[in-house]
Amino acid sequence: MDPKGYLSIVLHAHLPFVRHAEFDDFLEEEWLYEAIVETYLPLIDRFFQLVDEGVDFRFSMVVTPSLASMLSDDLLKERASKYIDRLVELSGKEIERTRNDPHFNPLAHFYHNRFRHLRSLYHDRLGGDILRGIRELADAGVLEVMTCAATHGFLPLLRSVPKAVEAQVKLGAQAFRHFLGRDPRGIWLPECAYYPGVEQYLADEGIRFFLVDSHGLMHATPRPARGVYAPVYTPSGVAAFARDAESSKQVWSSKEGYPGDVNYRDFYRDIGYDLPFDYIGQYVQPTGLRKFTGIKYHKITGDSDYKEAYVPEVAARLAADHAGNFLFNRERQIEHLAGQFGRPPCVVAPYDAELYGHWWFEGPDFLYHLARKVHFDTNKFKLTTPMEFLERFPAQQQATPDASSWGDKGYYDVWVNESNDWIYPHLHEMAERMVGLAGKYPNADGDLRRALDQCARELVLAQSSDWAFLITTGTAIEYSEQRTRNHIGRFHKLHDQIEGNSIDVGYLNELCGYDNIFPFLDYRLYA
Amino acid sequence: MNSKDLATRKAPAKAVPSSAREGGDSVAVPGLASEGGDSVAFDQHHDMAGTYLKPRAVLLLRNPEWMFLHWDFDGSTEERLTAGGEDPLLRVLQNGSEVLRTAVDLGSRRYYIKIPDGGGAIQAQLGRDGAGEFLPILSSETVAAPAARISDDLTVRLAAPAWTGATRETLVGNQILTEAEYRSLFGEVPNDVPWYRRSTR
Repeated sequence: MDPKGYLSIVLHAHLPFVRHAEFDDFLEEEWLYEAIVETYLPLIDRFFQLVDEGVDFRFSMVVTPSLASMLSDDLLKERASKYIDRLVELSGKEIERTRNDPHFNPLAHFYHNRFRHLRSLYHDRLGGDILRGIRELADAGVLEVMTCAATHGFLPLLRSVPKAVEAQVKLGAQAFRHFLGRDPRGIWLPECAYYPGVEQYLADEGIRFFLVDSHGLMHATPRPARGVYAPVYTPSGVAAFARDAESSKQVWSSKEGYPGDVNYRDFYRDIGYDLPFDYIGQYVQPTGLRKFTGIKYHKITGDSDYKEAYVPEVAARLAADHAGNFLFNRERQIEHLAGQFGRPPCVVAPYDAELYGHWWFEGPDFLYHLARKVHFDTNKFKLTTPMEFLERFPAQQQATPDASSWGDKGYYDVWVNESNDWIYPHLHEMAERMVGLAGKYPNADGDLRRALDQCARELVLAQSSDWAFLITTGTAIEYSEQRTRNHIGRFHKLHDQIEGNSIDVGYLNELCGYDNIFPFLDYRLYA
Repeated sequence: MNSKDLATRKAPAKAVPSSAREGGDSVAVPGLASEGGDSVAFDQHHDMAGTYLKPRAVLLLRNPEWMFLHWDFDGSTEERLTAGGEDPLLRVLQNGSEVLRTAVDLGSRRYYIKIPDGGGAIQAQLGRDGAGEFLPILSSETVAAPAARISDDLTVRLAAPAWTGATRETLVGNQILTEAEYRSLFGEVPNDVPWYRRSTR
């Protein structure tokens, strides 16, 4: 029997480029290792398990070019390996430390076994290459991998220099081919930030679809006859899917979302902060600053600071129950929509991948159970991917979405406000200068070529939407501002050296070593 | 507040969930690893240029109510903008018609513009008064305000772009289309194709 509709879950895996080769330890670089251990490996592990169990499932996953670049970096891979080794070591010590504690000792064993398992997955199955796991799942036909703009540049705020937008998209597609070994069919517009006309750059790269937030499609012209439950074709022929608010809320909402259940693991209580420094010191920052270790012994428990011991078995059952609840709600939703439209709706539920595992520890289990339940327990809907849906239902309405993003208030406020608007005059000037350089030196080689390529790297690194976002949210403000200033400053320093015919090769070599994103980048992207 | 309140609590490390964009209290950031470390950060840049001495005005959409304008200028543009000793004027055009004219501090190089009711195409100009006439000296590009409302245009026109490989034959049995939808895709509706006739709305 044909299903009444489809559910497309899209996981957006992204980190800004936080490689710091100049330091042995760097807090922001650990964002990557945390994400590897807490999200990427657990997700891959669960997806492999589903394949091994013969479950027919579909998920989409965005692997942003900046993340792919870091996951492919030899230095970062080596450091990730050490990070996992230290977790295995620390959890082993925890078994000894908690040997007389009936609540925490089983948890110490739980973490030790978990980290050893993930280390085995990372080394033995994946050869230290997360992207290999992604490629295998894509080859198996269960994971549709999507690309993103090169460094997650907020495209509507870069558009005053059209080449800047074009280069972000083109480089995003090139990176996808380089790291994933295939042509991108879908793209995640950074922050789901759309403006009418951006789709032409996507079409030029052979991209078939992108996502917008609900109101981006609800406010489209003409009015979409099936609301957010069917894609529309933009004037360039690229399809726009929209986020379904209802299914998003069930997971994301701080009040109603599953991750807030009192029996799930608490994110904030961590032995990195709880234990005496003379014991935990070597596993936190060498500077003496405490940080999360990833070993957390408490469940959410309630609103107060009082926390009870985490019980993994209870949380695991809860994740299965929540998957069942999510399935039930999607069945009702899809039945209703199918009855209303007379044809199968497509419910699109995008999430930050790092929600699953990093923020919501049991999130990968939830997805695992959801995939199994959809496969075994229902014939009312199927999991699909946007591309698969378009292949199945190629005839869709034509419309142009409205400008929008998935940020707070739905537009661009988060990325342009009084705290971060100082960035944009620099980004626009840099983009203009880059276009000027590419026009002036159409066939550079040697050190000039390397300097021009590095200029382009500094430009795209400065354009990352993460810096403006983190400044607005008050998280890692100092780092984000400094990061932005550094890329701007490095760009101009190189630019002046190029224009002054005085390239400092030593400086250039150092820059190329540190900001080494996209080794294949060709500055003529801006020609 | 729930301790795992994803929409309002921020972790010190790893990025905040991108779609949890509400404001709220944040956990103290432990600090950068570089602070207090032995190494000197490579090539740290602290001072940014306040001007590139390049005449330009760039208008950016912020939301349906506000746009952000930034501008820059060189010496000769400054002379033109301030000729007569007055502050330069900012003029805002909505669909080609002036809706705002106000003096601005040239050195601030930025201004948040309230989008007039009705939205439409917005352009900003910096200039000066010339005997009662506005003399534009720096003009931004025209930027469209979002519709931010459900469209009154109820046209349903289907497409199956060439890249889908869809043809009349492959759509049969694959898609259930109304007669109007069929016409929008293929034009004339043949009498011997009954499947499209299922009415869905």
